[in-house]
Amino acid sequence: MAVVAQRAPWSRRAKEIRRHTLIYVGLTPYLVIAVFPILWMLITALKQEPDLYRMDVVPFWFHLPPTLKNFEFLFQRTFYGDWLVNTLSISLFVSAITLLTAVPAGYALARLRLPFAENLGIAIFMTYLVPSIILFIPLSRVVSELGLQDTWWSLVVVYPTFTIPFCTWLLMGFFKTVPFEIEEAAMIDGCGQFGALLRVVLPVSWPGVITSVIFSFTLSMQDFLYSLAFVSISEQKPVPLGVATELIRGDVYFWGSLMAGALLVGVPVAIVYNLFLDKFITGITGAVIK
Amino acid sequence: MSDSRLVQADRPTVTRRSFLKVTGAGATGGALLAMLDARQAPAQLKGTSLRVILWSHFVPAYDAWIDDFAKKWGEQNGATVRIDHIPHLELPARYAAEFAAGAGHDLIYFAGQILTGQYYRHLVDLSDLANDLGTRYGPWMPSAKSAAQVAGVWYAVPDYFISIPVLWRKDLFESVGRPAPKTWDDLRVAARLLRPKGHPTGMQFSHCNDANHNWRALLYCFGAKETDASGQSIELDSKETREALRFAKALYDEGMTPEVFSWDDASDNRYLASGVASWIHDAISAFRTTEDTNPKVFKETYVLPEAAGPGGTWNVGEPNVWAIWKFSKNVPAAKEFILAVANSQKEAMGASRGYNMPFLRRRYDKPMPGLGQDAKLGTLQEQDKITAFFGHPGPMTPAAQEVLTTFIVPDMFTRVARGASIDETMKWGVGEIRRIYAKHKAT
Repeated sequence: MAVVAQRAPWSRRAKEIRRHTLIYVGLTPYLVIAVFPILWMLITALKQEPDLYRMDVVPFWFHLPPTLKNFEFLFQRTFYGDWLVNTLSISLFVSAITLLTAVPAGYALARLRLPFAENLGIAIFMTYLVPSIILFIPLSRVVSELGLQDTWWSLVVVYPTFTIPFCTWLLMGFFKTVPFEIEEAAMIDGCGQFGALLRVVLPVSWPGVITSVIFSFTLSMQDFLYSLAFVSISEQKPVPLGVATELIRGDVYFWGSLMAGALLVGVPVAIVYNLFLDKFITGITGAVIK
Repeated sequence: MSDSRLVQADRPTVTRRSFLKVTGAGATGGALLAMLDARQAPAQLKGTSLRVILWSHFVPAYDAWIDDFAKKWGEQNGATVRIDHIPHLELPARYAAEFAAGAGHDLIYFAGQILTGQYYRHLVDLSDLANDLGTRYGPWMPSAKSAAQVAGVWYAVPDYFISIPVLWRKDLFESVGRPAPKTWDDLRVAARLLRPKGHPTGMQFSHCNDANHNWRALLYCFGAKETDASGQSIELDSKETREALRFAKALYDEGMTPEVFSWDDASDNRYLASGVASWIHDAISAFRTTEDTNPKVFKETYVLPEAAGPGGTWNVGEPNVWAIWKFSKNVPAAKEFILAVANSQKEAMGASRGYNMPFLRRRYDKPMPGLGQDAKLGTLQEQDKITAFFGHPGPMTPAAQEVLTTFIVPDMFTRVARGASIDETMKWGVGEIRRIYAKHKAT
């Protein structure tokens, strides 16, 4: 009996180890696929130019001493600093505009029992599906009339056209999950409709709000077509446009600086994104299943 | 209609109106020439601003030169000039937005994708400028007109074109006992011998600019034509085209590796700079990249203006032209700026390290800046004699432009290289081209 009693925990531990091993072995290919582009960016950003063109050696490591020249080029010979500020400003403004618009819109469609609210919600979401390649031509007229051509403010006006529809639809799903009873209880306690939204509905819909912010922020950061169409002045460009238009010349690519530029923007966003990962997953799945 | 076009008109009698117009044009032209001689723009430019859009030149030094040139020109004339640079492939989207908005840059630039035929109704007639430049430095290469004229009117002014020669490795050719290449057959034999030794060749079987240029060069060298000289009748379905397709299939089978199906415009640059390629067909950007990154390979890299084929020697260039929107807020300054750049062509060509090939014949006086002093690139000083552009021998019409941008010609070569029959490929390719031309005729 004693032997059996001693074996049992070991057997459980072995099972546990085997289970974890299998999980990590299964995850490893996905991890490699996910991390490889970042690793490649990092190595390329730190490589000397001649090292990039050597095909007789394994390309995944350094064969000449690493260099920071590509980063220096980025900050000293381009407007990368301006592009970073522009990108951040655009993303913050767009996220704010999106929240200010999508929260009341989603709330009204989900909870005010408006006629045709469901169909209206679907119609709003459908506008998100219209590709930007079709929209940029009529929007250029709007941007011109507003006198915003060739400033990053034009993008603050344009990006909400695709962030608001999606976020409204997303928040609609969330607001529907909030029981009417707690909102009514808040109203009995003296809250108006707006107060109930602010004090009760929004706090319990926090994952949806976070998801909307992340979505607006990242979509604003990664757009290329609208910024290409509306901004041509170097110091007014956001990062995606700046690196693609100033670091690619004809058929010559400044690979090191391109990768350095992508890395400096991509890694912080990935870290922030991971900090809110649980909320983001709850946000997406919560909205989808309602 | 511009005054200069009236000057050119063939009129049997002289009426009072025509006399006034002719003398008016003469006076305007004379004033323009006087200003050009003095390198001074009209007084009305003072206090104005000029916005220019250009492609991001592959030679950063050229962009620095033109930016500096614009600044100095602006200071001399009391005008503010700003130049924006974006990659050539992104220019059409920008123009579509500017056209829709009815606002944007005063002076625009078609690089590679020539949209003169598409937008000419909204572009300023530049015949006076073009004719003046033709008189001063010309004549224009005949193919220049097809990039800039619509129905005989200059709606654009050619600036320069990019040549796409053969860049080959002398040491590798010698290692298999091959002399300097002269023909496409020479290149094929060398590729066949060098691929087993780890030095294949490569031309893009994909959707990129180089694919359009390279396979068209082969087509034209085999005597194939895209259209007739008027640009109206499609002539691609020919024995010569079939021969070119057959040759390309053999070249791929014997001398390339499958990676060429995924190549972009920069892939052949890397192929040469890495020391792998035995030869490539590319702009001298690849030559310069190799010079900067792999001096050993660069030392052995030589330039052939173009390989000869059974139908002659035709190099397919990438044209670049200036144009001015009718909604431009500063047409006079835009025209003056074009003139100023054209007058400084030699400095511009030097700044581009020999990349900017002129459209005007007298600019080919040797030694040409950036080329004449270079033992290898010196061979490119007669490139005007062998250069054709897409649509050859027809003009760069909107239909020809659409055929170019939809990559039908490279797709035909790709299909054959992948094993499709030549008959099926011809049927598909010519069918697609006919559909495009019919659509443009209908509009």
